[in-house]
Amino acid sequence: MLGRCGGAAENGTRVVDHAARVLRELGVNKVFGITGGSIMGFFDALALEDIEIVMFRHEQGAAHAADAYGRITRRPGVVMATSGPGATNLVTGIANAYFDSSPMMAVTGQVPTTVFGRDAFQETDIVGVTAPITKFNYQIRRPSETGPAIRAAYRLAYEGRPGPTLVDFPRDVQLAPYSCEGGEQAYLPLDFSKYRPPKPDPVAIRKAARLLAVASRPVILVGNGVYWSQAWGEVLQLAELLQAPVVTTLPGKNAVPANHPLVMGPAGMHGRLEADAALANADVVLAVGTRFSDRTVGRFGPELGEKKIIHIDIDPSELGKNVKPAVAIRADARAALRALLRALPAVPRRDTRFLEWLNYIRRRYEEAMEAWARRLRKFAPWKVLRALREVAPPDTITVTGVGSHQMWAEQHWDVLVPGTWVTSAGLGTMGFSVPAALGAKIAAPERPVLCLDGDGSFQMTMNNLALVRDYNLPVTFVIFDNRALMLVKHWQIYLYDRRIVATEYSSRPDFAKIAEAYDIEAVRPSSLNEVRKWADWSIRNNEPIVIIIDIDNEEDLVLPWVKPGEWLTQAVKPPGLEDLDLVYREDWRPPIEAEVRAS
Amino acid sequence: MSSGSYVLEIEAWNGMDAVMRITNMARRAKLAFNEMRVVFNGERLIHVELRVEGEEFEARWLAAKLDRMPEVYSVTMRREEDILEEKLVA
Ligand SMILES: Cc1ncc(C[n+]2csc(CCOP(=O)(O)OP(=O)(O)O)c2C)c(N)n1
Ligand SMILES: [Mg+2]
Repeated sequence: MLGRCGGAAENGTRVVDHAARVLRELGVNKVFGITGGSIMGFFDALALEDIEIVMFRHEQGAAHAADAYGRITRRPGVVMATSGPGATNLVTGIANAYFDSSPMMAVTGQVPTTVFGRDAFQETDIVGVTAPITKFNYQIRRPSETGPAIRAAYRLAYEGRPGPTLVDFPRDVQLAPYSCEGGEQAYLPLDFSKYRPPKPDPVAIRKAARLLAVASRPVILVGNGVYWSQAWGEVLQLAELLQAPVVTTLPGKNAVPANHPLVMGPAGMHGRLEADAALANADVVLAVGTRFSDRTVGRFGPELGEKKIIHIDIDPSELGKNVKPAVAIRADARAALRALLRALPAVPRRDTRFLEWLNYIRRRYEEAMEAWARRLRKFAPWKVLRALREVAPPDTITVTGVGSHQMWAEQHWDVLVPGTWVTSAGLGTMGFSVPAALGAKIAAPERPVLCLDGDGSFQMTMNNLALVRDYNLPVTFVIFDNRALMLVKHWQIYLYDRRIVATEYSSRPDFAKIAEAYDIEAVRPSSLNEVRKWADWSIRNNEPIVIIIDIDNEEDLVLPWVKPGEWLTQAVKPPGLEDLDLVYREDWRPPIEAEVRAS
Repeated sequence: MSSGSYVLEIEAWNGMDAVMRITNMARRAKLAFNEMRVVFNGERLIHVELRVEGEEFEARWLAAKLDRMPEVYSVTMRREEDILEEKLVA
């Protein structure tokens, strides 16, 4: 029970004034959104409380920005919208945050309780609409629930496994006089205790340690849970102790530095070859903070069934959901890894041939990509990424759109500092990138933000570019401009007999003119040197820019690629690697260098 | 993998909205639903009894998912047979 209710409420004013005060107390100093009849009362109160309202140009954009803001600051981003269309425009952003377990709180205006269910103007049952895509959602029906509901939704967004929450706030309740006679409850009567992870079970830890100690080819699979738990140090320590390669999921790229020699990169449908090979040939997989998506493992059986899997997750409903683990450990990733490190006996020196083999694959893969790049008519996306990496400081936050460019970035963008990779992985939302980059820049104005987008994704939310000058958010935007919905065209080429249906765009709009309309510099580099030069200019001078990269949509095929439903070793490889077998053989020996070159 | 009939009993808070959120989750389980009973009490507490048929693994998945919801206070899952046996013994 909270005995006092200070601030605006003390003045005997409106419920919204109290709500704004509660947000302030929670440490919220800015919200993202768009106003309207059912939320303007709350906006009015926010302004009185000096909480900044960042005006996006579409509610979806505001939601993606709040999502990215939450990922960077590790505190929920707050997004607000009016009832009806404002609220429904948030839906994609909320779903995105849900499927990437991102901390975010949405507050929607609602029609007055007196007209509920009467199809009043701009009435939508947003609680019903968002129930399956929120960790928790709630409609305030009485003034006394306001503080408890907002505090609960905010707390639930980050406690345990993060996720989006929503509070629906009817207009009559917002504008009712606030009285706090008798004080108010701090929270709604919810069970928060279930989000506190238990200490790792010592029996399970011992079993896991034994499995790892006797494994021939242990591999660590890292999901983004490792980022939330800040457990990258423990992951690398364990990897070094076991001499085990580390592979990641697409979001898990965010959790370990790519330049560590044991980090093989992301595995899966669009993973790197050496990572696919590592995961496919492991006998024991230590999976940490990942839900085992089909995108990461290609398919769930029978190959995966033959491996011994140790699964650590904070969310017990993930354990055994997609794969049956030999050992399931419900715990915070860091706590579990520390316990494992303590429980592991001195591990006998393992044969390093498996690692040598993976490094051999890596070398062949890099050489093949170089050779392939030389044959392309226009830019090779992976070369552009490498050029950008050269000029972007290690702590640059990188945000991507969804499509082939994102998959190229999955394979070739090196995340050097954990927590700097923001992508839409679970939902795969085109249009995520521009607003998410803005949200990231708001969260970390002192760090460079690089937005790697596709022309299709860019067009979905480019209206939010208006914020770049309005709020001084100098992001470096790079558009991989192939005038195609390339990732889908890629599938058409491989899986639909090359029937190209509704995946090629015209040359409209001119992105340089779009940038100009928003007062942003735009360039079309003609060489990698120019790419480096302009990106460097933007980052050094803290100036926004739109760099348009000309890419040929006949050549832009992201390989390697594991076809849906196939196993990792069946990946379609980049040209020149046809002879490379991804199935490890115990008798493998490193080829003599001359042979490699000849092949 | 074993299959059978199971009874899930759920205690939760927030009345009809909780029923909606629980139902939303249940819809996604690959189970056959035989019966769903909800008892409401004045304090917005609800008691849900869900009788399902299918793989044990799937019923466990649903129980675990429901247990993740903050408005759910408790979930128990039992085999229908065990409940019958208990009744017979009693
Ligand atoms: C909102 C949304 N609509 C449709 C899709 C399906 N889809 C996935 S990737 C893709 C193409 C993306 O095009 P672009 O942003 O230009 O990236 P590219 O693949 O060309 O690099 C499409 C249409 C999606 N993921 N999201
Ligand atoms: Mg494109």
